[in-house]
Amino acid sequence: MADKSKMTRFSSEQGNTIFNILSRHYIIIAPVEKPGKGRFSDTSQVLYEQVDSFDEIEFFKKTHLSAKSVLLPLRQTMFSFRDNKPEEIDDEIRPMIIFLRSCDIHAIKVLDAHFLNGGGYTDFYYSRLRQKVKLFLIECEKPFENCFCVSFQTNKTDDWAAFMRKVKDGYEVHVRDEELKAYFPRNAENVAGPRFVEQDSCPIKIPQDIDASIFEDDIWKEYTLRCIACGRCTVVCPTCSCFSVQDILPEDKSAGERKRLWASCMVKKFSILAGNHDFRIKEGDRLRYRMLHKIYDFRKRQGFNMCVGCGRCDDVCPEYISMFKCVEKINHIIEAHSING
Amino acid sequence: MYNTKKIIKNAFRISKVRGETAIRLRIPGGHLEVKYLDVIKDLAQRFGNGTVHLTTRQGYEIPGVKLSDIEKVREFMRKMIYEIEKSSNVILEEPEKGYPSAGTRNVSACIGNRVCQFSNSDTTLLAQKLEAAIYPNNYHLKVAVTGCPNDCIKAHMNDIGIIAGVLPEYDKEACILCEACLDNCKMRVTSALRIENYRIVRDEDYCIKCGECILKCPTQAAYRGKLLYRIIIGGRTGKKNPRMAGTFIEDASEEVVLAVCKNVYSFISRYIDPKPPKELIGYIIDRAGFDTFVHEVIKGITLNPEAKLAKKLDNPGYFYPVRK
Repeated sequence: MADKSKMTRFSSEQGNTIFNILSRHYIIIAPVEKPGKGRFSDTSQVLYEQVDSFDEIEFFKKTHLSAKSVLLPLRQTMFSFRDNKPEEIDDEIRPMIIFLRSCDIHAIKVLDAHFLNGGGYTDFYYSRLRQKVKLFLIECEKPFENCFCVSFQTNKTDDWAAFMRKVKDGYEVHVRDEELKAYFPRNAENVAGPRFVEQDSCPIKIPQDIDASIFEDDIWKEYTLRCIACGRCTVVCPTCSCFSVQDILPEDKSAGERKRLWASCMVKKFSILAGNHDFRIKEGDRLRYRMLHKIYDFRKRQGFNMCVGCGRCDDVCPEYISMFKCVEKINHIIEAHSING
Repeated sequence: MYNTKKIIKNAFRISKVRGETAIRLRIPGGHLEVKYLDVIKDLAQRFGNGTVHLTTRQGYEIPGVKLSDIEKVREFMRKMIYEIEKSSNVILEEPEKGYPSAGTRNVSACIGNRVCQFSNSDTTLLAQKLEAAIYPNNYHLKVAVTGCPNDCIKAHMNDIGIIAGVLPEYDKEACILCEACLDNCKMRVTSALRIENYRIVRDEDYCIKCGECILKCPTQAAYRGKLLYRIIIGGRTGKKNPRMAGTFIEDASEEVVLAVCKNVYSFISRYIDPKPPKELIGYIIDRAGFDTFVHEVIKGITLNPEAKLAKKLDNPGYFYPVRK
């Protein structure tokens, strides 16, 4: 809990002045509601985008996509090559501020585990972006639909440079980061620190021991009939970080670029091998792979769950397949196994 | 005793049962506040035979009304028809006299984007705007609005059909090449997409602006651009030469759609053969020529830059054999 005396309040007008100075040094990325940008006609969507003022930020709605594309762009040029010689892309990377909820800050911890120390290596492209990022916490007063962060213990976090709350006519902020302190006024006010969700609307038990016998269960056959392998769940997931690599060449192949771009274990060709051998053809098998990675396999290696309980996959699935319900089903299978020996 | 011409013009029907009629209520866009169902129910119970027919044009038709009760029915439904038409910005000057005309039929619409994922627009709203543009009018004209080329309202069987479309924009930096758009366009639509050097390329000549690629894209690299309509013309059923409507203007803006529909009436008034009762627009175009039709209908309209005019109506339709 933040110390009350460290909280500062400022008006929307003061906020504009603070923002203008802050944005000279930082790119500020936050949830924004974009009318007409929804998948369906005449619908809006809450997305992560660079903002031009604090007032533009949507503090009260869950974003459709997570902020992972800031650290892991959908398409990222790794290097270019000309006449068989590679050339490093030397983009200047400006410092960034990202506004995130607790679960999404935990999601960045997952990405860090993948890219800063995955298999003992540090990913150059991720780490140079990550170093430039400061995290601003947004609080959740109550869980959104489909959220289950408390069950995954991602409801609270201490890992933030600043915390910011929108109030009537202004903002309340608690800045911890030394560099950032200079940008904000220091009129200590008696206001509450960040509030976190304490109770999921539907708590769920995370299965602890899962063995390979679950692979044979009929639930995956059922999911094969329901899932359409569109990949939306992996795209919106803040912790899905698989990518593929491609070389983009002009006709004469004299020069080109090597890019990496998001991949999805739910989408066709993800597990395709030489000779067109594909070992997860069925949708249910793909879903099982994704599900167990989120709640089990990652934990075996890292000690904490990959799923952060943001519920975006449940929000987006066109077939109404629910991560939450799937975990419930896995729990039932495990219980039935233990009863039947 | 009764002037059938006047009765028919007043949206009452001459029933096969001598002395009986039925009243056809207009519901522009086919979407209605349920409070009116109570009025319709009372109307059917008090003046009809207690039943109601859901018409093919999304109206309610109340059968079993006595011709002698027409005055009372008009009075009973006065407030309702005034309010329903007003919600489409049509002001009935003398609502106590019932509908001022029945030739131009209820503008119907598919359920549209108030519910449907596929719909590229609020079809009911456009149907209501069209109602305001063309009603009341005595010329026999059927107009329908559909939200995508699936054409659930069967706009192709109407004199004028409006098919909502969307220009798909493409953010190549957000594309992960999952090929969902490509596979779907090939399977369901016109295979207008292809991959070139790790990018999706859309062939403008084949794209029908259905918006399927936008619906399928997991990253929203394909996203909604301009709302554009296809105006189709000359669709009809009937006892001579049923025919599906053909494209008249592709990628028209809403302003163009409304202006074109208005202008169609001046074309009709100029070229209609007064002899056959209610000659349909398709037959008038056949007689006057498509070029004349185009010339007449786009007169005074500034087409939006995307709009493309068709060169001909190329579907002759189906002819019932005629004994020589």
